[in-house]
Amino acid sequence: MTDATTEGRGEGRGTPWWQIILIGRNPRMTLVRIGVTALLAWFVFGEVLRPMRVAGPSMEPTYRLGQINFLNRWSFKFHPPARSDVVGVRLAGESVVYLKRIIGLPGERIRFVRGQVFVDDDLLVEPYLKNPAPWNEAELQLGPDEYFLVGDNRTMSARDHTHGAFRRSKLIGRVLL
Amino acid sequence: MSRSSRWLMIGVVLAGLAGIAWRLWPNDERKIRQTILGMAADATFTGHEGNFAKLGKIGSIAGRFAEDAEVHLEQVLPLDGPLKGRETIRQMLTAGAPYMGAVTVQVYDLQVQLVDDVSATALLTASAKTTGKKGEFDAQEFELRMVKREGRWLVGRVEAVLGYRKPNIQ
Repeated sequence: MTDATTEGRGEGRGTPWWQIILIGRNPRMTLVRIGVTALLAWFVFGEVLRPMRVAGPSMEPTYRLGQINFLNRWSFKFHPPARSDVVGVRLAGESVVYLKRIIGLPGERIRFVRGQVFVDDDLLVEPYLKNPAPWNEAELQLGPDEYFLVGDNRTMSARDHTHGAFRRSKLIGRVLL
Repeated sequence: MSRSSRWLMIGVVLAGLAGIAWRLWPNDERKIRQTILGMAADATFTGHEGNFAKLGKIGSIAGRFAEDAEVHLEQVLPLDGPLKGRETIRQMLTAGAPYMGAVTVQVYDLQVQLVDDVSATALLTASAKTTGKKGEFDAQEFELRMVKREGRWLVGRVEAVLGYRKPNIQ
């Protein structure tokens, strides 16, 4: 009795079918492919696109609890942070990040009046905002390296909602989706 | 036994001994990490603990603070001033024990820097997650000053790091 073998030509000839399924016709090439895939995965998901899971309510309803997304750590290499970008903000490291929206750019003055945002006295139109709430906040002058970040969930109490002027070095990258 | 096999065996034994020594005699940085991670484990409650178990955990947390420890949370909580002294910390925790539900405390991105033989600083992000249908998640950055007293690394000062400028809410 003989083992079942493939009828293929070249390198595959005589190789048992189970071996082809497990390691391919050419084990050396398979190893190279695995190595390249692992390296690419490490580079893409470790260095460029950081997988993350939403854990807090401050960006609801745009981003809901438990949603999976990616943080593009290279996004600011080519374009500086812009208004209405949703960005990740680092704490002591990058394991836990705040997810916030940029509403103010360096040098601007930001003020909340009955839930409406004024940038340098001009009303900011926020189409992403589903449930505005009557927040009132004194004007905050941003420094040359500061961005005003806030979540989309303004139904939360302003005191419980982490928002304010963050330094550029705290911003990791834009949210991909 | 061939010569190479003998050397291999010696290498394996030495590596094993080094591993055991590493486990049994941690250096100062690892001791500090153990203190901080142990505190996070003690601050984690399943919600099924009885009062004695809660008090035991609170005692363990308080025991990781130096006698003259200070906790500064004014940046993030509406407190009048810092908590001063291990006993004050213990009393505060004990007062809150009956209201403590299920909560998981975790430490991330712990960076320890030794200042000298008896002091060090640690920067970390701590998260607290409550379980249940309305499970809430919150994270906060902290800076800790660690002090070595009688051979033990204890928390000398805790400061909540705000990391941004808050607007003046009216």
